[in-house]
Amino acid sequence: MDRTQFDPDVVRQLGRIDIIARVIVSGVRRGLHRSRRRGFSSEFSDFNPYTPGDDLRLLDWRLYARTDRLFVKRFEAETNVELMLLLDASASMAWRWQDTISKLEYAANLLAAFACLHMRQQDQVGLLVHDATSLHHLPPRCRRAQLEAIFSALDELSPGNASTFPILVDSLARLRRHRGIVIACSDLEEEEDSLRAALRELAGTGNEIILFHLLDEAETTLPFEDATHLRDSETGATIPVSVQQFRDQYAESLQRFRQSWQDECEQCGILYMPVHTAMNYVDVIIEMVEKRNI
Amino acid sequence: MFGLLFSTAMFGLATIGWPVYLHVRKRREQQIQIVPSLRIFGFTSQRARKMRLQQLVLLLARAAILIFLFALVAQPFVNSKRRLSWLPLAPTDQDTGPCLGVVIDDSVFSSHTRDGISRLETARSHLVQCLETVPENVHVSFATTSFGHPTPPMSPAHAARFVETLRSVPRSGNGTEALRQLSTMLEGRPGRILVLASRDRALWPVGDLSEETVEAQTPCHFCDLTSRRLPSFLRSAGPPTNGTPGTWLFRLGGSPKLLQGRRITVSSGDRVLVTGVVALAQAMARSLRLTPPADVPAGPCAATIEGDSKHPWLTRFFAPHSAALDPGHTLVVLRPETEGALLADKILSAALLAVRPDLRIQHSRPDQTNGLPQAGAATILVDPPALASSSLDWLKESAGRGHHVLLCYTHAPAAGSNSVIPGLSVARAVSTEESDEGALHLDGGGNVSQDLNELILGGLLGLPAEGMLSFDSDPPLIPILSTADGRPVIAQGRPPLPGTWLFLATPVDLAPEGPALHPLFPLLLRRMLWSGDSSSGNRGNVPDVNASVDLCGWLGVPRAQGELVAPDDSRSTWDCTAGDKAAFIPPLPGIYRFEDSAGLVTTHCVNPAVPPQTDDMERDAWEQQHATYKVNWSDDTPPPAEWLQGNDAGIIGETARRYDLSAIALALVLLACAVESAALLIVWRRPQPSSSAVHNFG
Repeated sequence: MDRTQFDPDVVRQLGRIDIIARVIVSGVRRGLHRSRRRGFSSEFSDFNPYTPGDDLRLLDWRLYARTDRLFVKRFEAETNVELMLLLDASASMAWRWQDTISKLEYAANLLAAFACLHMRQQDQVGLLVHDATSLHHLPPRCRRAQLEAIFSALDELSPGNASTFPILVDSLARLRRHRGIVIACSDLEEEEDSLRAALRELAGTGNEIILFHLLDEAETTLPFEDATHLRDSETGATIPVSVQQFRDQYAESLQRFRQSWQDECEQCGILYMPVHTAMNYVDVIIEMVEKRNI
Repeated sequence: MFGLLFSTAMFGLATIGWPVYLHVRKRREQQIQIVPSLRIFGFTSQRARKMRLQQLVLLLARAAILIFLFALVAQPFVNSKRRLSWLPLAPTDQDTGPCLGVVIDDSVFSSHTRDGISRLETARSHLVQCLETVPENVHVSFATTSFGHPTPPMSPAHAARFVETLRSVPRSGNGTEALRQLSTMLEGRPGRILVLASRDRALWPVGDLSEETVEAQTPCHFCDLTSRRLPSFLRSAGPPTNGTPGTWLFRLGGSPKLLQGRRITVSSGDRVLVTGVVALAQAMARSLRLTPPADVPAGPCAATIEGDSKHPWLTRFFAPHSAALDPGHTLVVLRPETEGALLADKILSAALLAVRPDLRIQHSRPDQTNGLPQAGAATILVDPPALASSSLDWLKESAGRGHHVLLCYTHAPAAGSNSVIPGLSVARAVSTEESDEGALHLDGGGNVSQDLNELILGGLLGLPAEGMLSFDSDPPLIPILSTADGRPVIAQGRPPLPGTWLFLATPVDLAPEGPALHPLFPLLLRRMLWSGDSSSGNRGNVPDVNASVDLCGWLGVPRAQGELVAPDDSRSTWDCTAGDKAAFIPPLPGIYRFEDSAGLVTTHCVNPAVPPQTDDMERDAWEQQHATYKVNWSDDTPPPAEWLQGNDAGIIGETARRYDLSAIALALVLLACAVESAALLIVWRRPQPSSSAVHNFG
C-alpha cells in the first residue's frame, strides 16, 4: 500500500471531508491486519452450545442437522458500540504554519475517518465539539444521515474559544447515557489545571478514552527563523525571543510538555496518542488500533 | 523666563529622532510570529506585557538622556530678579550682549590729586561702585588712555578685579583714541560708555576723520575728574641756558589764573634751598627766576609747586651747577696773550667751529674770568699759568658743573713755575728715545678709545716723544694713551676738584701752533665734548625717564664701577668704561645715587618724561569735539544707577539675573542614565522559561 497517498496534505487536496474520510477508511481497511479481538462487525466468529434463553434466530440449523446438537452462532461483534467524537475547536487548533494543514483540519479529517469507519461497523457515532459560536452536539446514532451530519458539522467549524476541552468534558458527562468509546482530539494548550481536572473527569465516566494530542509540525520544529517575537494566538501575549538560540531549549520544553500529558493520561487510563499534522492518517489510526489491542 | 544660551545647540535634538525612528522602525519591522500558544514555551502573558512596558521605559530613558544632554550643551538659564545663591550665574553672550564701555585715564594726567587722592584712585572708587550696580548680563570693556585699545568684554566680577590692577602709566595719554576704539568695538551692539577722566586738553587731542564713521549717538557718561587736579606744573627748572650766573629759571605750565600766587619750592634732600611766589607778570610769562643761595650742595635739586607734594612725576629735578637745557653750546678758551697761545686759540676755534657751527666759543685770559658764562661744555686752558684765586674759583665752579677741563701746552712751562692746579707738576719729559720709538698703546679706561685707534692707524705712530711733557700729580693721573715705555700721551686726572681734567702731552716747542694743529687735538676735543648721542649723553642735561642714557656720560666719570641706587632703592651693579657706551634706561624719575667702588657717592637725577598738562577744555568744547556721543556729565561722582540700569535708550535694559541651569541638566542626565541602566538590566535579559512552568511540566 502506498502510504504517501494518505499524507494529510495529499488527502487535503481531495477537498470534501466525506471523500477524505472514505479514502482514509479504505486505506485503513487495506492496511489493517485482522484483529484478534472480536470486532463490531457481523462476521461469524464461533459456536456456543445453546442454552435456554438464547436467541433462537442464532441457532445454526445446518450444524444441528449434521450433529444433532444445538449451537448458537457467535459473531465478532456482539453489540453496537457507541462512539463519541470530541474535538477541541479552540483558536490554537485553527493555527496553521504557512499553507500547511491546520490542527483543526487534521483533527476533523481524522475524526471523520473514525466516524466513517465505525458507521460501517454499524456503531453509533456522535460528535461533540465546541467552537466559537456554540456547543455542537450530535447524539450517537447509526444512520446514514448521521454520518453526513457529522461531516457537515466538522466542515463548518468556526474556531475561537481559548478553553474548550473542559467544556466538552462537562457536556459529555451531562449528555451521554451509555458507556462506549470516546475519541478526543486536542492540542492540550489550555489552562493546565483545568485540563488535568477535565481529563480526570473524562476518565471517570467509564468510557474507553483515546486522546489524540495533536500538535502542528511547526510546533515541533520551530521553523520561524526570522521571528523576533512570538505571539499567543489565543491570548495575544507577545514575547521577544531569539528562535535560533531558543530552539535547543525548546525541544526539551516540548518533550516535557508531552511527557507531562502522557503521564497524566496513563494515570487516568487514557490512551495517549501524540500526533502532529505531518503524520499519515492511516499510520495514526493503525498505530492507535495496535496500541489499543495491546 | 527660561532660555538657552546656545539655542542653536537644540537643533541637535533632531538627532533624537534617529533612535526613535529606529525604535519605531524596529517595531514595524519586528517579526512577530503567531504561535498556537506560548504555554509550550513556559512563558506567561503577564511577563510579556511587563517586558513591553519596560522597553518603553528604556526608550523614554534614552530619549531623556539625549534631551538633557543637548539641554546641557545649550546651557539653559533662567532669568530671575531674585537672588538665587544656590545657582551659578550664567555667562552672557560676549559678542552681542549689552556692554558697558569704560574709558579710564591711567596716563600721567591721572596723577593729579586732591586731598591726597589721585584721579586714578578716584576713578577706581567710582568704577567699583558702578560695577556693583551693573546687571550681571552686561559685559564691561575697558580702554585706557595710555594704551587706547579696548579689552575684550568681561563680566562685572572680572572687571572689578581688572580695575584693581590699574596703575598710573608715566606717559601722556590719548582719550580720544581710546574713546574711538571703544565706540568702534561697541558699534552694532547695545551698550553705553562711561568716561572717567579729566578734560585736560592734551588728553583729548582732535581725533581723525574715522571717528565720523560712528553714525548713531552713543550714550556716554563723563565722570569729570578735572576738579581733582594740581594747580600747575613745572615744565623745566634749573640754571638758565644763557649762562646767566646766580639764577635759576623755572618755566611753568597752566593758565595765569592758576599760576598766580603759587609758591615754588626748591629743595635739596630735606633742605629747602629757596622758595618763590609766582606773581601775575611771571604767571603771564609762565616763567620764574629765583636766586639760589650761595651754598648750594653739589647734589641735584628738586623743584615743586605748592600742592604738588613731592610726587616724583610732578617734580622737576635739575643739577644746580650745570646748564639745565643745553650746556654743550658754550666753550671757554683761556689763553694768555702770547703769540703761540693766540695762534693756537685761533686754529683751535676754527677747527671746532668747522665741526659745530653752533658752538659759542668765548675767549679770555686766564686772569679775566669775570663775566664768563656759568654754563658751558668745556674749558680749555692753553699754556695755563698759575691762576689767580678768582680764576681758580671760577674754574672749580665750572668743573663742578661737570665741565671738562683740558690743559693744552704749546711750550713747556718754565722750571719752577707754579702749576695751574695745586699738586700738579708739568715738565719737559726726559728723552728716552730708545724706548719711546715703539708703538703707542691704549691703556684703557679712557673715553677716546675709538678715535685714538683711528689716530694710531692714521700715523700717530710717528709721534716724536722727545718734545712731550710729563705730568705728575697726586693722586696720579690715569693714562689713556701711552708710549711704549708707559709715558702718558693723554691722561685723565682727578685732582681734588670736581669735573674731569684731561692732560694732553703732545710734543711742544716744535711749532707755536703745534698742539692745535696736531690731529690728536681736535679729535680729542670733539670726542670729549660731544661723545655719543647728544641727548642722553650730554653732561649738563638731566635725562628723561625711560630714555637711553650713556651711563658714564651721565655720571660724568670715565669708568663707572659701583652700584646705582634708583629712587625705589633698587640696586644695579655696573662696571663699564665710557668706551663701552653702556646704556642705562632710568625706569623712574627722581634722584639716583651712584656708589663707586672707592666709596664715593654721587647723586644724579632723572626728570619725568612728559610734564602734566593743565590746560582744560570746556565741556561744550569737549561735546563739540565728540559730537557722536550723547553725553551726561557728573562732577567727580559716579554715574547714577539709573543710568547704568535704565533702558531709556533700550540698551542695557534687563536687570534680572541670569542663572545657569547646567548643574540641574547634568543631574537630570545622570538620573536618566541610571534609569536607562536599570531598565536595560531588566529588559535585556535573555528570555528564560519561567521556573513555575518547568516545575509543572517536570
